[in-house]
Amino acid sequence: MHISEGILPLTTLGAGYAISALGVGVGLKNIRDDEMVRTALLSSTFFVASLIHIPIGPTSIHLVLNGFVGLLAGWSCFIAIGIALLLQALLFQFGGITTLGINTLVMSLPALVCFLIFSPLLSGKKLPVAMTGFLCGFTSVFFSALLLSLSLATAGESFFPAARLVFAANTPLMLIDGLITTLALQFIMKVKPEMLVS
Amino acid sequence: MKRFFLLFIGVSVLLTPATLSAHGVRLFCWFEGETLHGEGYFAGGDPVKNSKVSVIDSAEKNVLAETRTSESGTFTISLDTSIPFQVILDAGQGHRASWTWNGTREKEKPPDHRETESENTLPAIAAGLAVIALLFGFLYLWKRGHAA
Repeated sequence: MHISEGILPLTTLGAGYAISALGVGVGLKNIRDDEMVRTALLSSTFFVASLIHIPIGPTSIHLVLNGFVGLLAGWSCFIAIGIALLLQALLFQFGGITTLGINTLVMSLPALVCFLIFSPLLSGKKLPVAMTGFLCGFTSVFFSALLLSLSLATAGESFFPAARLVFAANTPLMLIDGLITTLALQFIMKVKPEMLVS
Repeated sequence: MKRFFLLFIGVSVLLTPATLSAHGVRLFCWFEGETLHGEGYFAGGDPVKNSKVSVIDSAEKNVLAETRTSESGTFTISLDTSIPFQVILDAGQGHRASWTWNGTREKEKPPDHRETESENTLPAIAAGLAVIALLFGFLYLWKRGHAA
């Protein structure tokens, strides 16, 4: 789920950088000392998760886990995801430098939305952990795929079929990310519940 | 907290490989009969597309053949395999890889992609994790500096 270089118009790339920079700025302002290690670990998780490919039919998809990162990192998800995407672009040629802003936005904005929606539900114990995890993982990938498709659509009508295809191809990933996020949250709730319930 | 961070950074630095293979180019060649097949790709597995491939006579340093890689990073050249030569793949911007044939040793088999890709990926993953630790370490120190 990375947009490569040379596809999107400058306005989309610029908007991606501007909004992501705003998110990173708010994250840098709000991040506390005691959240640094957790955010670094979440950035590492996001960095590595994208390298785990799951074969589906003739193709394969990779984990995203941006909902998981967002739920635990809050506004700092822009920092965690931005750094991970920068390193993926430099080390593995996933995405690119010009598309770093829009890729960060596509991944981080749904992560932040998940934090704003699901963190209160988790803290207030209004939903079971398993259901919260699944909905968080599913929703984050759903909105990321939607943002990705919308971004591609700004490149012109010739990219409309690709935008639809990208969204459809990510549907299984919504379920898989939901399941993995569920398992991860259940594990954290068992060993260190204070990370989830503030 | 500070000690934990210093430990985190220290371990990460130790894990960092001596050279980052961010844009390292890999070249694999093998023979099928008298035909030389080759494949070039970057660290991480992306193919080296549409790049110049030169075959140089090891003794005389003459150019024996030239071609370009396909969209999948592969190329094929028919050559006299009895003389030693060097295959050079130029991926641009200073990224080059070479493969040497001494004219006598046993012919190579096609590359095992799973093995080569994991060999390329693991150091890059370790480097990435180390950089993340370092960046957050600097961020921690920067925030502490501003708080003081």
